[in-house]
Amino acid sequence: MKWKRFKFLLILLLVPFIMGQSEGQKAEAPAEKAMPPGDAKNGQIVYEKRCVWCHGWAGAGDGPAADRLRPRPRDFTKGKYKIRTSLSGKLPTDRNLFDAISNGLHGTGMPAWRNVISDQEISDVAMYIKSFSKKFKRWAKKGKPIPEIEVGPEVPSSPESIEKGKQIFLKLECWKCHGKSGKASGPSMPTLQDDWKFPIRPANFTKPWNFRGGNRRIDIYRRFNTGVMGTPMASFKSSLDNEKSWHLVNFIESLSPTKKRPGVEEIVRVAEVEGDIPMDFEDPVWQSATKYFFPLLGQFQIEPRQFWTTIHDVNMKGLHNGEDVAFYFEWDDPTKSPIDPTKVYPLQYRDAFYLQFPLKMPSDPTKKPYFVGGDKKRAAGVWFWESESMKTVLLKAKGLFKTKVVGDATPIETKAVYDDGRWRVIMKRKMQTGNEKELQIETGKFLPLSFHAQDGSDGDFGTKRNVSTWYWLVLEPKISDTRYAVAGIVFVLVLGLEFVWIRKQSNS
Amino acid sequence: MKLNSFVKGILVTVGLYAALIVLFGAVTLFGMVEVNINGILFEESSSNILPSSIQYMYIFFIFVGVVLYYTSSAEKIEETIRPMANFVFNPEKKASIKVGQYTMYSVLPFFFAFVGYNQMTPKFPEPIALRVIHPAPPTTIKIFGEPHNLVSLENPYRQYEKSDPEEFKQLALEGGFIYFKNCFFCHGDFLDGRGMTSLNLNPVPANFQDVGTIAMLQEAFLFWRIGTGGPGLPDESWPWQSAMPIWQNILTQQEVWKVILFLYDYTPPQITPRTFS
Repeated sequence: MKWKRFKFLLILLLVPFIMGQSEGQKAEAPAEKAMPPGDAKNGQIVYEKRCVWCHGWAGAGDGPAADRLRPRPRDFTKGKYKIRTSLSGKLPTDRNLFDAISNGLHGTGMPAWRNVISDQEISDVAMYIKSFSKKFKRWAKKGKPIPEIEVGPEVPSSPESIEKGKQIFLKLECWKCHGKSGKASGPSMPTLQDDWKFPIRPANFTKPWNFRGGNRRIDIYRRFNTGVMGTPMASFKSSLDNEKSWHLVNFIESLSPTKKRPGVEEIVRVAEVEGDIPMDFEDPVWQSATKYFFPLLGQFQIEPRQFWTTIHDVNMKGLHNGEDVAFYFEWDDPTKSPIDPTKVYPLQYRDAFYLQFPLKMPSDPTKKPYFVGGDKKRAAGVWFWESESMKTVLLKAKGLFKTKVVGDATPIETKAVYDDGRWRVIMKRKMQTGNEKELQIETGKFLPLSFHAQDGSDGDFGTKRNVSTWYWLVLEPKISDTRYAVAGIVFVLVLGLEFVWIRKQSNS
Repeated sequence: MKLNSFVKGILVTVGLYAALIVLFGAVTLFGMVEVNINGILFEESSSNILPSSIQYMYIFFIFVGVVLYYTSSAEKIEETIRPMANFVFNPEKKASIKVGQYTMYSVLPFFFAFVGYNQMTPKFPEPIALRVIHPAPPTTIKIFGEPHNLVSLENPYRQYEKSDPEEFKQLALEGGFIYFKNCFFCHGDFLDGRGMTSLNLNPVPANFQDVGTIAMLQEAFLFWRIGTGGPGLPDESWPWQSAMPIWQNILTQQEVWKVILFLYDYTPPQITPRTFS
């Protein structure tokens, strides 16, 4: 009887484990699930509820949100689709449409609809959007399947294969748009437009989470073999064979250490080092410092607003030596602005970076200035850097339109370098300056910090910027070695007490 | 098999919690699913019924209940404590208990040494500040340059829902245009708070599909929250941190009311504005 009850408890205990197991497997299942046959009539109902807002009622990519999205939503009337498995110039297969709706187009406004609508509905919509272009009907009359790219046996990654891929990358001039480092910073980048004359940016190979058609090896293989229709990205199939394609895949993969976007930490912990903090980016002290990743988003708060992000994220490191504190920033920007104006980017400003703190150390650090450039009640102190003077000044900000330079602020030593699609900036200042008008930085005290960034070549100026909300910064002191001694003493002490106890026990 | 009440207490605690998990299908501790927001993948609990904070609260109550039960009478206390006393003093000189004792003797010094080491390592925890997610609205507030009484304020377009459904449909559609020109970047195509910027924000954008957000609120509350945005929040709700713009600076009063119509119209039918009548 008792054992029976116990068994019941055991089963109860095990159920969640089993359930957890099956959940885990579901999450890992690849997207290659069967596509149910679609019904265009029902697809129209779903389309007019969910899709019209971006793609428009007539499928021309002109819904209410269209002007505020970049890349713009697809215009279905032309029958030109970016993400396909079909040969260059051909229509997408039904499966291609299903997958694009299901997975979304990463790094764009197109979400993964499988999160919220059923496979049946996705399939129905796929059928309906085909009706926007006559090309699909015309092709259907031929009664032939759409020809697709064949993917041959895989060449696994190796240093030799990556090197071969690099040679192909250089020979086919991929770098002219994508940049030698793969950061979308090639010399042709500022002239790139799609077939609808809208600006378009090449893929940044160091951020695979933004690859529109996915970042699996086979996705990359297909992309340069099928081309991205409607954009300057042509098909390179005629210059490649299966083996060369895999070399190129291996090279592109080698440009990014991770496929997943790095995680975001709430606290930047700045470690103490001995001696001067180097102003050299390559210095081993900087290379070994912890790197923090912060995503940015458009400045939606104050007109004129920024609807799409031009600088997606910024990486930060920090070091201090008890006297000076230095911050190292690194972010991707395809151009060193301003550049010569092009037809696509006629307005040119400088690049800029804003490191925001409260102007002065607040008595309660949990009460902060407004993250968009401070407010009337609490001023922000902004370390403002821009690419024309290459200098950093301190701004007192009580809102984006109430900002002025603090004249007698302690100088912020700055070094900035632009190389192939990336800005790197080091800012260094005394922790304690003795100037009451500015922030005094102390070890162990938490400070709010946030970031704004601008790409001047993409029209960012004034309120047009990419922003982050508040995070924390703390300078940590070097930890003394007394903790090892304490651990040792405690160990011996407890052991001694145990001996006394055991002897007492065996005596009694 | 005879179980003493100490072991029973532990089993009952774990068992009750497990039963709860089974009952609500809440597998927070075990099941994680990968979510994809515009290519950015992250893991989240596969449970959408019970948030983990509530589950931890339940686990706490169950634990307290079990402790109370097993300490409710002198015999129960005695019965619960006996196995512990047996282990420490080993009156019957059992060999199996001896093995257990010496294992403990060898582990304890390491444990306390670690505690000492840990105590001596300075830690810098984030300053604790609790954010009030649903602040009490002020009764009167100045929005769009005029004072409004939030208790009596009503959506001027709500009446058309019954009197003129065609007109109502048109107004909700206009609200949709406004939503997809301004709001969906954060609050998402599905109004589920999972727009393309949502992962870059803390606090995360509100999920209107959730029965715990707009379905619990009056339209006037939404009017206040939209009109004055993040900076219109009281200090305990972190006005400096919310990315919600001050929409009265960007939209008109009519546009705000239309977008509120849209929010309730586009979400499932059970999500309706709360009224006091």
